[in-house]
Amino acid sequence: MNYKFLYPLLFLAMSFASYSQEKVTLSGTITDAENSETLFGVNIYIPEISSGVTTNEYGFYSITLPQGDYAISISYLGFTTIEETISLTQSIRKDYMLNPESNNLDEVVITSNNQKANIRKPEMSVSNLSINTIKKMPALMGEVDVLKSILQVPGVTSAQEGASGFNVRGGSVDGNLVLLDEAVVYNTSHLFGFFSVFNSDVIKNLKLYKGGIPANYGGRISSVLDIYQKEGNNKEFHVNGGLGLISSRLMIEGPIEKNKSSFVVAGRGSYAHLFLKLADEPNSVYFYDLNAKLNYKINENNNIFISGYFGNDYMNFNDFLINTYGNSLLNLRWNHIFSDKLFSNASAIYSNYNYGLKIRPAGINWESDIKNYNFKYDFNHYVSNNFKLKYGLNSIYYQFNPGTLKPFGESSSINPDQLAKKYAFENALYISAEHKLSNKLALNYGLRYSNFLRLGEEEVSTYTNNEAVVFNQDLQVYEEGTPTGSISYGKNKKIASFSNLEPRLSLAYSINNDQSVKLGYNRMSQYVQLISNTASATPLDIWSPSDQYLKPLISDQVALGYFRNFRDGDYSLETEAFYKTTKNKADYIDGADLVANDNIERVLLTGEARAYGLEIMAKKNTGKLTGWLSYTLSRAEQRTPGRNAFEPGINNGEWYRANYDKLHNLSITGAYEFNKKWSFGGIFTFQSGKAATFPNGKYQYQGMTVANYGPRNENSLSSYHHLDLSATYTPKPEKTKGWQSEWVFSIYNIYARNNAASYTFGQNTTTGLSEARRLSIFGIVPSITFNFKF
Amino acid sequence: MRIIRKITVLLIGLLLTACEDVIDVDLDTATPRLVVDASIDWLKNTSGNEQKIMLSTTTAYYSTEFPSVSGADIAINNSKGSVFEFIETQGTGEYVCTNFEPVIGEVYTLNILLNGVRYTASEELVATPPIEDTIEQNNTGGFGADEIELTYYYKDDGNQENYYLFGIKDSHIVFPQYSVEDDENNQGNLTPVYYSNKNLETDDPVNFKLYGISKRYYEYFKKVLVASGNDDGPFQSTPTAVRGNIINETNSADYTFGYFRLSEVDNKDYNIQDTDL
Repeated sequence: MNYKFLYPLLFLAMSFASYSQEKVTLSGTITDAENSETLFGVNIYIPEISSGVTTNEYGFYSITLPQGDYAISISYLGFTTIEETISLTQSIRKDYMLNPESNNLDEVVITSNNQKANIRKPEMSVSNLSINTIKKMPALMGEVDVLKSILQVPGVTSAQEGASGFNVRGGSVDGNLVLLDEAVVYNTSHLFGFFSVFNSDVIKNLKLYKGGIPANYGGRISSVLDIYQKEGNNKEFHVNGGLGLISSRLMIEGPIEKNKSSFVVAGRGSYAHLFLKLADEPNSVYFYDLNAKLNYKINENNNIFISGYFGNDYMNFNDFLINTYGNSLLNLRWNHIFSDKLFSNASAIYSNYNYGLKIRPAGINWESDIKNYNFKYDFNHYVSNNFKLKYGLNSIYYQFNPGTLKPFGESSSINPDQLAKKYAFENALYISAEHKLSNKLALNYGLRYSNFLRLGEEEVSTYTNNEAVVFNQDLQVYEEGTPTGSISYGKNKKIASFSNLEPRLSLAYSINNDQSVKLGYNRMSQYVQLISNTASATPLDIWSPSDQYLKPLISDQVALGYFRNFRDGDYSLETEAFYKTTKNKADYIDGADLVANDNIERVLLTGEARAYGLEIMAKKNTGKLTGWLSYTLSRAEQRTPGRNAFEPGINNGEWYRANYDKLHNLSITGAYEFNKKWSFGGIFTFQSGKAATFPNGKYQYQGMTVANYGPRNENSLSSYHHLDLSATYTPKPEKTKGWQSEWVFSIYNIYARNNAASYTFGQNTTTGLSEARRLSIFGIVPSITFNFKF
Repeated sequence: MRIIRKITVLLIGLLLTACEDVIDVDLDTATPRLVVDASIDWLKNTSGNEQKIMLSTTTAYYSTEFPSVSGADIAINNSKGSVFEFIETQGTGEYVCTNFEPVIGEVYTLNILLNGVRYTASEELVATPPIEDTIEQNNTGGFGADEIELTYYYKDDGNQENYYLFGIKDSHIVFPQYSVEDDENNQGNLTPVYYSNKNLETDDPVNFKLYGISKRYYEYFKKVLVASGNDDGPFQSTPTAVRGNIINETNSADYTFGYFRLSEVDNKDYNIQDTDL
């Protein structure tokens, strides 16, 4: 690896550090006064210089000013703003505690303006959803779900109800970097996608980057969903819990040593089989997860966090089929403040996703997993008020086990087998600057260098002309190639290597205090992908690292936005247009079987993808009724042309719509505080039907009817819409100590629309006639949840 | 590994509180194309002299008739120069041969002349092991323990790569059920084949067929199954036009559907035993 070209950049970074000597620095940590949780994204604003900073992920801030007196305003959504005058003669450390707002107010009216559009910050295509907002939304079966909630912002969609994962700006599910306390989560769903693995009780905040992704993130091309868990109350013990129709949950938090260390432990267990059609059958279906976090404040400059997540799904159908899968994450972090201007965090992370399937009829027991060891070291360098740097490094070592096959059951005919294990090492260095050029113009620019090494030990097949897929000219079909031999790579020997430079830029130009125009560009590269040729992600999809056949994905995105606040932020409007291209998008030859396939290269071809669209978000941020309207007009397409003039490619080399492509996507989300006891929430969703391929004829073959199909995804399912409502009843809203409880009633799809997840074209088993069948996943789903805390 | 995908799709379907209903979808109809069903099946312990090839065209998706194609000259040649002619039963699109000579491993060529257009295909006749005598019946089978589950066995040839087509006729389903499998994970083993249906009752007849097929036909048939809707569920792969092995020698762009396949076949009938628990 050659990082030498980065030295000048680092040197540049260091040199900025030393030009602000007569100035003084105010720095510290901002926490929630009630439970001492650090707060991310708190605004510290100084009117004298019409400028300010926000706290980082660990609640740290640093601002450098000429000596003098300043009126400081510290504000954060849902908290009482602190305003004070401070006299700065020397650099000082000052920690603030913010008090939650609503408890002190007579009327429950949201007056806080932090949801208003962020005008000056060179940050765009970002959605911040507070966990409080998410908890007010109606939830399917009463399970508060952060992944479902992000579907309500523009540019985010999912293939269908019950599909795992989400699609951002035309990207596939595996293009999302989902981080839980900085650890990569490979599968975000329980029960195949009905529920997410994130327990809302322990989530502090989340941030979704759809574009303008800063250089400190990398490894996925489409988005970053950064989720942080609570640290735990270091003042007093609290218990939080809920009983729902699907699962129950319990969270305990409290100090270990008061004001110094705290813990939080939360668990969730389901009794999901109750809602299945299978209640009285010899089946067992459940999931559970456990979140735990410890934090220890060694002194004011050093903080240690240990966090973990363990989750599992188990499904057993009459011993006919047994399916288990789960994520485990373990994370050790160390915050160290080198100086009032230099904050650092080092993380060591272990992550494991495993998947097991036993099928009696096939007599097979299949186990696969992906493990990785991740080391990160990140610095926030507050060089001056107008110039902040972030730099750091990241190394991940991967071990992939695509499948261990064993016989299952007495009559099994399966021969034990081990699919080739794969190893890889991914490294990245980055530097990123937030640079305020003038009062009107601010920039965030950065560069990430990423490098990916595929390592042995592995035996790699070789093919004629290096083409693992061959085109049969006579029959005009793609077929699997026959290997000509193989190369054996020893342990840790390099099989393939890739490097990419990824520039990132966002720019904000404020027209005035209420309006701005922003521009974003990012290049991203991705070295591990989900191998899937189905309409939406399934648990059978296996992560696979890049090699000479499965090339790394490279994506470029530009976005342009206009942001405006009306009436001092009571209303806001955010609009963005984006255009995104992706190179090396894998596509699969017709009939490709990807399950337990030891030679994926023999069924894949490489193409490209593009997506473009317009997003509008209009919000009402204050008053008894708050909410937003989000609308996306977009298109996501891909194509795979032939490799030479003699072959047609996939779909004749023409562009075709992605399986999750939906032209219109509208969502209206509202929350209404009726009085202190009752509040209501509602979501209305309308989407164009997703892309599908309908038959244009049929024929008879071997006694069955076979439909014939034209070009891919030229049709659409019928449009998708539903209205969900919820009501929350708090019996004793005046209580802020001791036992507190609330009831949440919700109805999903209140007018019981049969929304299509898919159409199947096939024969009626009784009449033999051809028919079209619509599969709808949810009808009307009412639910009730009881939450408590003490 | 076909079975894994199919079963998981089923599983996901079951997990849903889902409902399926029949709807009307407006569909276009493409220009008709020729369909050649040239499946030479040599049933074990028979001479295999009588064989049939069917010609038809594609039709509108909701149509109830399949137009047959008459007036073609059809013959199959073997590598030794013998020619087996197929004569149409007037106006039916069914072309019959009475002197076919099946030989395992022999490569045959199909020739069709229709309205001045010549179509050809060539393929090898593939052997199959017999269906073993034992057939197991489990009355508490399937996901929900409420299906009649039947299992038969065959012995895979451990010395070569084999591909199989399983055909099942069940009196509760008006068309045959098919699936395909390779021996990648059970090379040389006594291999079970499962079938289950909750509608089966005592004394119902079930017919099993086991075909030896080529790798290329295996690949073809997987795509046919997707296009026939037999591979359904919310996680289907995109169906496409399925190209077979019949080549239009006159105008290659005007391709046909169907396949020229030659298989040895074993056949077994079974009557459902007492289904009481």
